[in-house]
Amino acid sequence: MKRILLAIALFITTCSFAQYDSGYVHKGILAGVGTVGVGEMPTHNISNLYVTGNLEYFSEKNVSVRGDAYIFVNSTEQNSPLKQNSSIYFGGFYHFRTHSGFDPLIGLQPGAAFARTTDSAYGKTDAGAISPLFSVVGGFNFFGEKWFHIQANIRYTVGQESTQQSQFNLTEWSFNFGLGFNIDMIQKYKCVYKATF
Amino acid sequence: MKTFRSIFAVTLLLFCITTQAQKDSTAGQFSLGMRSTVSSFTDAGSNGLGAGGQFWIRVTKHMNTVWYSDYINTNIQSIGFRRDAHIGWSVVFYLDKDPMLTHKITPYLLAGQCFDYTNVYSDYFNNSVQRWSAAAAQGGMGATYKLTDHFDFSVIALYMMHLGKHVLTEVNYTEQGEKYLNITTPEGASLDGHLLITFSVNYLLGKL
Repeated sequence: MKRILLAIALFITTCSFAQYDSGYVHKGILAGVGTVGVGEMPTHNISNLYVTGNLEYFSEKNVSVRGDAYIFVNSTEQNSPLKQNSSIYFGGFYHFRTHSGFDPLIGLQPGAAFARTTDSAYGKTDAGAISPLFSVVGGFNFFGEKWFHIQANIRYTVGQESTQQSQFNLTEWSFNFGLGFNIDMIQKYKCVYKATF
Repeated sequence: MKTFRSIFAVTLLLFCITTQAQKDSTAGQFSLGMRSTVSSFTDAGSNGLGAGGQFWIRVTKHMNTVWYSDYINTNIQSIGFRRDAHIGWSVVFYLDKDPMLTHKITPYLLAGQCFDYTNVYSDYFNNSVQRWSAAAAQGGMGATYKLTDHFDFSVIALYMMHLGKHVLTEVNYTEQGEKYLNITTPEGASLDGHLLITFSVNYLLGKL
């Protein structure tokens, strides 16, 4: 009987401590998001639409590695010279600790874009080029359900397309907001999860 | 011959790392990271931007090595451009007594060698020059801040000298007053180069 009481007390203590210690975010979460994004290029005063997605793995409680892809749909302006601007990013994120499912984050993601414009020179139109990108990202996840979360990101990207036909500044502010799916790759936080939700 | 020497030097360094790894508890630590690089002090005052990856193999408590590749693109005043591809390595010497502790900045010096490809293009008469070089040398300093036991943010500033064929870019003006990029390849060796400032995030995966 004493052993059972001791085990129950230990269980309650562990769960209570876990509730106080942190929210849902923990090592082993694999999260993916697919959504649409909008971008604003201040240099050219044009807006772009993207289909975007990312895959993120929490290698530690407050560190994740994440890859993002942005598929260019089109510019919202009819006379935009930009005809292609799809890009990929990969980098690391730091997650600030909270005591809930709210997960603010900041990250650095180098990347590359394939960009193409309507510019022409020497009898040829711009065939496009792969250009390196620098980007910083700020945003948050909110893990409110076992399998799903919402995510919002603001990204500042710096880059330049350089070809014989075109010199196009790719600097852009972009924003995306969407619903994501997440699974727990390491099942050792079940106690925390049950206590939290 | 230069390429063979470089490969031999790299092999020798790897051998030394492996031998040393048996003596030091921090030796053999392997980190993987992504990097963004700003290139400056070249190409008629224009700055370039690059992206790439790197890994670190630690040799001793106070010595590390970083192996990297970069692809850098520079718009030269919208009258030409330059593309650089770098694959190189550096030896890192930690200046701190207890380096790479969590929530602490660790400064260091570094020096190394790099394989380099450069392509410079000018709109003026559709002119371009390419250069391959296995003998670029670099040196500089940096600092790493460890946010957690495994995750760090690093800033490195180093000057890279291209020891091969000299590619000189100058902005000139035509008689009509239009500026153009003039590319020349003067004879003789040169120590021209560029300052590379690199921002990176790295994750310590474990020991080799």
